[in-house]
Amino acid sequence: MGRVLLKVIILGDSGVGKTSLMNQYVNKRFSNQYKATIGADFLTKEVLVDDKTVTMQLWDTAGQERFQSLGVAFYRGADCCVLVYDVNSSKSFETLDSWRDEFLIQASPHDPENFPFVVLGNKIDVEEHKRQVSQKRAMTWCQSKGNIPYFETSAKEAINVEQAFQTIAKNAMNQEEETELYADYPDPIRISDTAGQNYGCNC
Amino acid sequence: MADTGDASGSTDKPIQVKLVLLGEASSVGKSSIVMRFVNNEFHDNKDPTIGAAFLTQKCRFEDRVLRYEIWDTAGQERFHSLAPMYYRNAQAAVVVYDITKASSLDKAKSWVKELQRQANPNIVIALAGNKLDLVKPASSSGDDSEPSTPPATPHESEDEADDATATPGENPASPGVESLRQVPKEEAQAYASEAGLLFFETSAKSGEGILEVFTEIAKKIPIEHILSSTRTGSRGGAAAGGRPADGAVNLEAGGARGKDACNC
Amino acid sequence: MPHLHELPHLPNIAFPPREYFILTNAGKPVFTSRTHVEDSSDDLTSAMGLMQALISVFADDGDKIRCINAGRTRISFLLRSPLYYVCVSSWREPESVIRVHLDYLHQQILSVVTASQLRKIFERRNNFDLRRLLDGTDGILHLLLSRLEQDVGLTTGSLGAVRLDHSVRSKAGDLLVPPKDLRDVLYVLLLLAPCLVKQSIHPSDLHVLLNTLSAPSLSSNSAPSSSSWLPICLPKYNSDGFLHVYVTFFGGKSEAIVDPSAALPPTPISGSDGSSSNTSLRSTGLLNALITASGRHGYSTNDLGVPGLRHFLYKSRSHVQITMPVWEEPYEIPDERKRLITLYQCVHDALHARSGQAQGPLKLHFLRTEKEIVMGWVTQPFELIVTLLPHLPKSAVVGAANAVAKWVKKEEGRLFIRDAPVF
Repeated sequence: MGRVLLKVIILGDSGVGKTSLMNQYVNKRFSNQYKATIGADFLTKEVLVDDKTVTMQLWDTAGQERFQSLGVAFYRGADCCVLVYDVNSSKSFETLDSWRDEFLIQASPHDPENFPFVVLGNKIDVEEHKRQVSQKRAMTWCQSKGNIPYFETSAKEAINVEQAFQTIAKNAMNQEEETELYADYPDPIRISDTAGQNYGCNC
Repeated sequence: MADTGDASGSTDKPIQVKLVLLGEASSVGKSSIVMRFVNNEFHDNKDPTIGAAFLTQKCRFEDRVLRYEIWDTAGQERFHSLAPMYYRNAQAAVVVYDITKASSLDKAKSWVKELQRQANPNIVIALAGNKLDLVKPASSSGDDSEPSTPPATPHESEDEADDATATPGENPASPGVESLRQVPKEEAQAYASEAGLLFFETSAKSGEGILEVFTEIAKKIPIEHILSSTRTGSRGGAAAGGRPADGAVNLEAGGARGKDACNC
Repeated sequence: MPHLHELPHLPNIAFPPREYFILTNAGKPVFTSRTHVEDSSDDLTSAMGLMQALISVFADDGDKIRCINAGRTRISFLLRSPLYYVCVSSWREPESVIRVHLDYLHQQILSVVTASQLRKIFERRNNFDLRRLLDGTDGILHLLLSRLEQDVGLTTGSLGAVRLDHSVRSKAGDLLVPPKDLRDVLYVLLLLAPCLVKQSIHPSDLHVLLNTLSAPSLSSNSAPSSSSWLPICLPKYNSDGFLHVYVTFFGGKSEAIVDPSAALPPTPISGSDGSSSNTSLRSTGLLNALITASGRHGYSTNDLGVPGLRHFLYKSRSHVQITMPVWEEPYEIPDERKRLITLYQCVHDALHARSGQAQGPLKLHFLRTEKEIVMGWVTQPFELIVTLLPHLPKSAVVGAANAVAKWVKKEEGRLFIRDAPVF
């Protein structure tokens, strides 16, 4: 059996540093060729989670406009959603709610209450006095949404990026592993019941 | 020649013993064990069993002929819910794990639990740790396959995938080969005796331990019980002379024949 | 006066392996025909992610992508939500052929998980990793792909029967009728090699079944005493439920009685009834007759004595069965055979206007290449494609086709299964 694929969607306003975070983490340039045409691009990375190697597929959206709908298909089957804001921009923090709702509507996960999100407050390398969103404020919001794990990161200086993505992978993996196998063999077909549709020898 | 009232007398009619093999998928070696037992063959094939295969093998055991009716089941998760059909009326079960794969013992334990809860209460369960050939220096196959090495000392081996520990070269006792083992014999044996199981380490490849599994099962099977129940069952209760079910003869006392018992 | 339709010949092309992918509608990999996945796991997930994205772009506009043509390579898509099937081929076969391939992959997947199970799982979890449920079926899917490449029966929606004397066939058939007290038996099939002795089953289901049975784990375990039970869904019969198939092998490697039934698998059939048809097949000497026949199954175009004839494919429309001679010079060479099969597929596609050809279905279709003439001919009782030496005049080709049809008519009793007992 092939390796488990974890599908991770990264959402947040334009300019908060989604692409830089992923570049920092994956250490590979984005092609950007798909983003121009289909509004999204992805990177893959092999990650070790609980001694298991899995493939994490990180989907980065174009994100220029808020609520630019990417369509159900991009969100479908996500294992984790990462919400990114810029600690130096209140506005980017305030839109997290909408991004979260947008995701839940589009992806319509099986158990929205327990769907794994991770919040990243990026650009903590900028001078302290420019900061607009306090750690406390962010954590309060995360707690109110069902204890979403929160990391403060700097893509530029590689602060906390590795740790954040490790948590993302782990939470995505939990989602994957909780799945029981719906493999019950139903009672076999009763042939008499289906005799009407039996094409028997008529072919 | 049917019922002379002496159920223990030598008879040509073989006693049918329904036996089921269970264990994790991904080649712990269930089918290989059966092939070794039935055809005395070993094929290094990795193709998984689908559904369940049915094979039979006759055995002479003391003065009786047993006919093992073996259901070799597929280990994949999707077949799990079918397993009860195969073990429901079984008199014996062989639960197989791979001694070089710790997680396969966990799966084996869960099979044992399920059998003890849901199978025939008299079922004889044997636990077989297969692939002994991979950890015996005598046969040199299968070494350099995995670079990540499990820890050298047995008591640590629950952390089997912790690759921060010893490399093969640092293991002075049995370099390279024994280190493939992930399930220490003592650990599995302790579990087996606690759970009331027969216990074996086997190699379907070399044949080691395979006959013993079926011989020891034969010793432990309540044969009289089978005889009386088949007689009442299939011949419309004509078995007036059958012994009561729980009056089964203890075969363990006289059955010290080891390997040769199953040769026919 | 028949309408002759002439097309320029197909150029000589190479036949690099076709690539097949199955993914979920979340873009998660389910299967790939690539065998060295570990080396390129990264590429593979990327490719599948991209496929999902492409399909999505169209889906968001309420559209369905069918194929992308890139030079001589065509990427075909078959969407059977929650699964997507993709094939990359540069063989230049008609598009309809690949759709049939992809549909067979789908049928084979359904044979393992059923349509209703699949629906249920993905309603509850659209991120489900289907490989968990399909664990161990990769081999069967690979087998199917290689059969699709070589077995014209699959792409023409028909079956091949073992060439047998009618009396032997009907004796075997009588023996296969299960005892009256064994109810819930749907079919009993007798197989020699991959061919059929008796049948009454939808061709596509049968191919799925045959393919499953050729799984190495079944056929390599064919010790004289062995038999197998396996749950299988035959999607054309009922895509929502399982049947249990009981398979007994006798003697050689490839002879099997197959007995899909709804009966549960415990001992009864294996012990008594299953071996009853087995033993009676043996005791009447019928088994030997069958095995001998399977050795004589193949025949040569020389047997027909039609000048210039190199090969043909005859489908009896009423029996839904095909017959053809063995592949002979030059078609015993794999690439030449692939080329001819592709020509057959082109002719078949044109005859039935499978790719929506403007002129509609044809009665006759004629292809000429540097190496051969291929002509397809559809009549009420049969479809025939004949291959002849190049540069023969059309009149000779038509004459040859008539001669082949006549010969098959004469041999019909041995070539086809005409009456399967119903119970």
